[in-house]
Amino acid sequence: MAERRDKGSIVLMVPAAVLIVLMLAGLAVDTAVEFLSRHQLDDAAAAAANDAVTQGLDRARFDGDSSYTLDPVLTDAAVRRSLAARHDPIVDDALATGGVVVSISTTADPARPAIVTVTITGHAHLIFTKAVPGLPSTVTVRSRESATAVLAP
Amino acid sequence: MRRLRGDDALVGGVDALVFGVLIFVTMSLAFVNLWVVIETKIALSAAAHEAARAFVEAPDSDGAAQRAQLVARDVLRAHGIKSMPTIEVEGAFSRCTRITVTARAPVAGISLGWLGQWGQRQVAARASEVVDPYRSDADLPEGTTCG
Repeated sequence: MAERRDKGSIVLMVPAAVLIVLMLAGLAVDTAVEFLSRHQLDDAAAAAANDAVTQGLDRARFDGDSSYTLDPVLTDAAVRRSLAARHDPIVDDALATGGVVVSISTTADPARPAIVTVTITGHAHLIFTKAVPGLPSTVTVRSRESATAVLAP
Repeated sequence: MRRLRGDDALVGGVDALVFGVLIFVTMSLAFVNLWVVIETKIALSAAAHEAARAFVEAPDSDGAAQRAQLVARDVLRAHGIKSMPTIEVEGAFSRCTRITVTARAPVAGISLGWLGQWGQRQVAARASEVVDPYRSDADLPEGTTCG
């Protein structure tokens, strides 16, 4: 039951409601920005791993004993070339800050002898959260993708 | 001026409705417009990535670019992008060649639903891949190595 002194309280309620809606909308947008950044890192890592798993081949060794072995230096260089070619700010930032890790593993399967895994750690720049004092303006985003060398029979 | 009994709540309500709705509608539209840009960017990013994969995995050079275009448009259609996207493929179909796919689509600067839209901005995404140096059926002869 409304009392007489309740009159006019909507004046306070509407700005509060609008503020809550704005905060929720800002949260949704920033979550989407984070998702987009992760998506971009996923694509970059997948493409880089895919390029490196063939470009990193130790050709001299392959010509010698036909073994498919990846040269760590060539593989790492191929990954960095691939990432730099994208001209994507979040990927460029990860490259500059040492957020790219390349690892090589081998398998016992002669048809799939090597796997390159690229892990990228970047920072997504949020749009609305940074406007709130005390909250971070960036969020750390990590992506990990692998590519396997498949030899034709 | 003589005030009617109990009109203070009505005045407060009307003020709140006018300013609240104006602010709410304006901010909602701003968020929706921002959301459209992010959504388009996600779709273009996926399209460029898939197009680059389709290009470097094409069986021959003749249909590689066309295949990339088709795949990109399929991805954009699946994401519900109705505007006319532009898909550009730079680079030749030959071993070790880096190809870059740039997907662009226009989005409205300000869109007010049924009232129409004003202005336009381009949203773009880029993907890059290298044609496999050891793949068969490519245009370069066997034995070519990447520099």
